Amino acid sequence: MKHTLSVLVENKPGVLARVAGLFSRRGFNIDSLAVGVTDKPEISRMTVVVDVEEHSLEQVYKQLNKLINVIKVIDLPDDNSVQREMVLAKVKAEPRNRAEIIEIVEIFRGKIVDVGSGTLSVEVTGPGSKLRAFEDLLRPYGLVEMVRTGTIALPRG
Amino acid sequence: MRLTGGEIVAESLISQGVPYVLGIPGHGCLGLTDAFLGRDKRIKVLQMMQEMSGVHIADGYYRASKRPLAVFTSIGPGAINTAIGAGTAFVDSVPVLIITGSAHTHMRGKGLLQEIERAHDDDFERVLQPVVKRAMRVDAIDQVASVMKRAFNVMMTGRRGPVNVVLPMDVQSQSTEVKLSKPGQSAPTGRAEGDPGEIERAVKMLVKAQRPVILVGGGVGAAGAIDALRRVAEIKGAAVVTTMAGKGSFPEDHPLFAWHTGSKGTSVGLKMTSTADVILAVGCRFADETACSYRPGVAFSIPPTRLIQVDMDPYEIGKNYPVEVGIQGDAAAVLEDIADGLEEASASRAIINYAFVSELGREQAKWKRHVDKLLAADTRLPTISQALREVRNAIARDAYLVTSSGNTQAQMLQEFPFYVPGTCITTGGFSTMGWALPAAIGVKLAKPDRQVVGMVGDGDFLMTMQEMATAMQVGVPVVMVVVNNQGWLAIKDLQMDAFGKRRALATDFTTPDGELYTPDIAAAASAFGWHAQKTSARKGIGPALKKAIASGRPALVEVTVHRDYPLSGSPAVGWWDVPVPTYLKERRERYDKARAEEKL
Repeated sequence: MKHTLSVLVENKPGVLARVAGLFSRRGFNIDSLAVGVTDKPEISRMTVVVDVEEHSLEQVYKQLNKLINVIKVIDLPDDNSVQREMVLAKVKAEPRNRAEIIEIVEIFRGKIVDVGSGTLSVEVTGPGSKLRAFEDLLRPYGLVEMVRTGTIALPRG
Repeated sequence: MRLTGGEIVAESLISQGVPYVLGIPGHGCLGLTDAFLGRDKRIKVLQMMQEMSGVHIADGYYRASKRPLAVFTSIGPGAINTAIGAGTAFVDSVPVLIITGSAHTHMRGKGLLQEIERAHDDDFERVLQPVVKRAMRVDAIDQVASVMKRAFNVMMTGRRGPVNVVLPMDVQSQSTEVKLSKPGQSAPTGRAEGDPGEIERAVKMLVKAQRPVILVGGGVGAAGAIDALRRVAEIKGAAVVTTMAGKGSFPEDHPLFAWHTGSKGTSVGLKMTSTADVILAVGCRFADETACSYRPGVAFSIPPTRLIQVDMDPYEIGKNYPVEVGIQGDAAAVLEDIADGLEEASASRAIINYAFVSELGREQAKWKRHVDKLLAADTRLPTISQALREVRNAIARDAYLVTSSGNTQAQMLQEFPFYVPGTCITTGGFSTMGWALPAAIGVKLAKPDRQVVGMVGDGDFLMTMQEMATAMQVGVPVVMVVVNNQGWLAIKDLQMDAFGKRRALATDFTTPDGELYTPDIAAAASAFGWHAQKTSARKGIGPALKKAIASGRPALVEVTVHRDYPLSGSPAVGWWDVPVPTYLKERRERYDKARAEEKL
C-alpha cells in the first residue's frame, strides 16, 4: 500500500543518497521522491511515496530515524494532508480534436504551455487521483510524452 | 386616435415588435385582414396553406429568435385547425398569439355559417382552452386594446405559452377612440431571482456532491440560460444530461456532456442519472419518457439521489419526484447565482471530483462505440443512423436541424451531436407529426443567413407537405431530408418491441394486394417548384444535401432507408409503460412485474 512520508533532513551533501540507499538496501519501492529546501535554509524536506506493507512501515520509520542527518519523519495520510503533484504532458492534437482537449484542460484547471504542429503540451497540478484522471481522459487522443514531479505534501490543520 | 378593432390589433402587434402575422383570410376575419393593408412596411402578412401550419411556423420562428408571431384565422374550421399547433406550443411553453374570427356579437346563436350553436351559442374559446395558456373573448370594441395588452403579458411572462383571442367579426370593423399603451409598461421589468437562502443550500449540496448531474429540460433554452448552465457545469465538473426538450442546450462535443436519459435514452445518460448523488434539474418536468415511467433505478433513483429543482413554474417543482431544494425563478438568474456560489467555494478548495469526470469519459466512449457499431451495419439501404451521420457531416457546424415525431427524432436524440447551443429545433412533450416542415420555414424566416435543414420520415412529411407551397410563396429556401421507409415505423417498432414480432398492424403503407406503397416524394417536391433529388445510397446523401443547400431554393432530398426491424430504428435503452393486452400472457406477466415497480 502506498504511504506518503515527509522527512525533514539537514541540507547537506550526501543526505539524499543516504536516504535513497536505505530504501534500496531494504527493498522498499520508491514510487516518487521530491526534495527541496524549507523556509529554514539549513533544513530540506523530502517527500517520499513508498509502496510498502503496514508492518514494514514501522521498520522504515525506525531505520530513517536512525540515520544521521534525519531530523524528523512524519506520515502523511491521504485524508489528513494536502497533496500536490505536477504533470507535464504532450498530447497528439489534430485540428478536429484541439477544442475538446482544450476544454478538458480547462476543467482540470490546467494550462497549455506549448503548441507544436499536431501536439499540445499541457501542465496540470493536483493530488495524484486528479492527475490519474487527467491521464485517463487524454490517453485516447495519444500521449506522446509525460513527466510527473512526484508528490509534495503538508499536514492539514 | 380613432381605430377599428382590426386596426387596434394591427397597431398593437406593431408596437410589440411583431414582424410577421400569418393568416388565412375568411369571411370571419375580413375586417381584421383589411387592417393590415397599408401597414406592410411595419408588419408583413404571410399566407400558409393550413392554419395549423401557421402556428407551427410561428413556433419555429420563436424558438430560433425568441420573438413571438401572430396567427389569424376565420371562424369555424379555420379556427379549430390551430388546435394542434396550439397544443404543441403550449406543452413546450412557446408563445404564439392566435386570433380567431367569430360570429358577430349581434348575430351570436342564430346558427350562422361556420358557427356551431346547438348546445351553446358560439363558444369557441372552449375549443382551444385546454391547449392554450389562456383563451380570451372580446365582447365589445372598447375591450380590444386591453385584451391585446393582457394577451401579450400572459404570452410572454412567467412560463410562456400560446394565447387565443376570439375576435367577433363586427368588432373587427367597428371603431373607437383609443390610446395604445407602450409595451414594457404591462409586464415585470426585471428577472425573477430565486430565494437566496435556497440558492445557498443548493450550492452547499453541490459543493459536497461526488457524482453531480445537471438535468437540463426545455426551461434552460427558454430562459436563455445557456451560458449560465455551462458555468455551473464547468466550475463543479458536473455531468450534463439533457431531455428531448433540453437537447442542444449544451455543446455536445464537450467533455462533460452525458447525452440523455429516459426510455429512448443512452447508456451514458441513464448511468449518470441513476447513480447520481445530487441532481440539479432545471426547467424539466420529469415527463414519463424521461423518467422511464417512474421506475426507480432505471432513469432516476430519487431517493437516495437528492434533488434540487429549479423552475419558473412552481407547479412543476416536486410534481413527480420529491425535492430537497425547490427554487422558483428564472433559470438564467438562478444558475448565475449558483455559479457564483460554486466559484466562491472553489476558491478555498477543490470541488471537482476528477475521478467522476474520468468515469464520464469512459461512459461516453462506451456509447460512442455503440453508435459506431450501428453506423457500421451492412445493409443494402442506408439506415436512419447512417443517414443522420451523413447529414451531420454535410451541414455546417451551426446549422439548424428541425425534426418532429418519429424514428428520425428518436435517433437524432441518441446519435446526432449539436455543437452550437440552440440549433436543435424539435417538438418536445406534444411530439407532433408534421411539425418539422412548417417549423423549419419559421426557423429559416428568423435566421435567413444560417443553414436550416428539416429531417423527417415519409409518414410525417405526408401530413403537412402542402406547406411546400408556403415555402415558395414566402420565399424561404428551407431544405428537407425525407427518410422514406414506407410507413409509421416508430410505432411499428413499438408494436413489435412491446407486443411481439407478429403484432404490427396498420403501420405499413401498402396497397390492397399487400405490396409496399410510397408516392414519389421527390417528384412531388419538384411539382411544387422545389429542387429535389432522390437517393438510396449512403454515399449519395451528403452530396445530394450539399447540392440542395447550394441551390438557394426550397429543396428536398428523399432517402430510401432500411425498414427491417431492429435496424429500422434504434433499440430502446430504458423502460416505458406501454400497457400490454392481457391475452398476450407471457409479455403481460413481464409488464405487470415492471409496472408494479413504478412509483407514481
